[in-house]
Amino acid sequence: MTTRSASAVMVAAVVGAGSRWLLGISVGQECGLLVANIAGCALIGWASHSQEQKWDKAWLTAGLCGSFTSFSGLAVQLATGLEAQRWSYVSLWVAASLLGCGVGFDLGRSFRGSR
Amino acid sequence: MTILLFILAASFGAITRWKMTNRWGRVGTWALNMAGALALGFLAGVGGTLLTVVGTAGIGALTTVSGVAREVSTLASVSQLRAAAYLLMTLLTGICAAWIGVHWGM
Repeated sequence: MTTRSASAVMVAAVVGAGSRWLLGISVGQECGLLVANIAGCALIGWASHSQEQKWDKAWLTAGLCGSFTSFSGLAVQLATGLEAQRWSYVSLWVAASLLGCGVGFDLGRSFRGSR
Repeated sequence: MTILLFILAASFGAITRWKMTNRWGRVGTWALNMAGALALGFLAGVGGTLLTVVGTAGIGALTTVSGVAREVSTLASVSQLRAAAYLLMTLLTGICAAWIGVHWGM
């Protein structure tokens, strides 16, 4: 880990986490998190097809995508939904997250691959 | 002050995850996701600046969905069964960790 790449990861992480926070304020925490997770997966799918060296894209993958998406938020959302026995709500969010993130990742990767 | 703490927390979370993932691979990502789910569940009843700084910035940057997606994609190129098992295990253990955190925090 060089100082340069660590600094780049930190700056990108602040942008990613800040964008997720603003998205949550704008469209609601639950929808904002879903949109952030899908968009982050699409972006990392796009980045994973890159031919650049690992440290060159750490700011994008570990910094921006990693901080823009949040597993903890999704897990708490699902756990509280299960606690309240909102089965359809939990099923919908699990399906939307898995499908959205999977399709997003593949779309991002194929977009990069087609260029 | 909140913005400064937000910047520090997000930076710390991302650097910790980056180092852990570089060192431990998908085990590191999984461990941080579980720790983050537990911690955010614990903070679920808290609001205001503490939740924004520690929850949204720190724990949010510490845990990742995009990293899981990349791990699943890498595993799927070797074995689709292993990829599905990893995804299912991450999701189930994450929900359990968050549930424990929520109850612990009550």
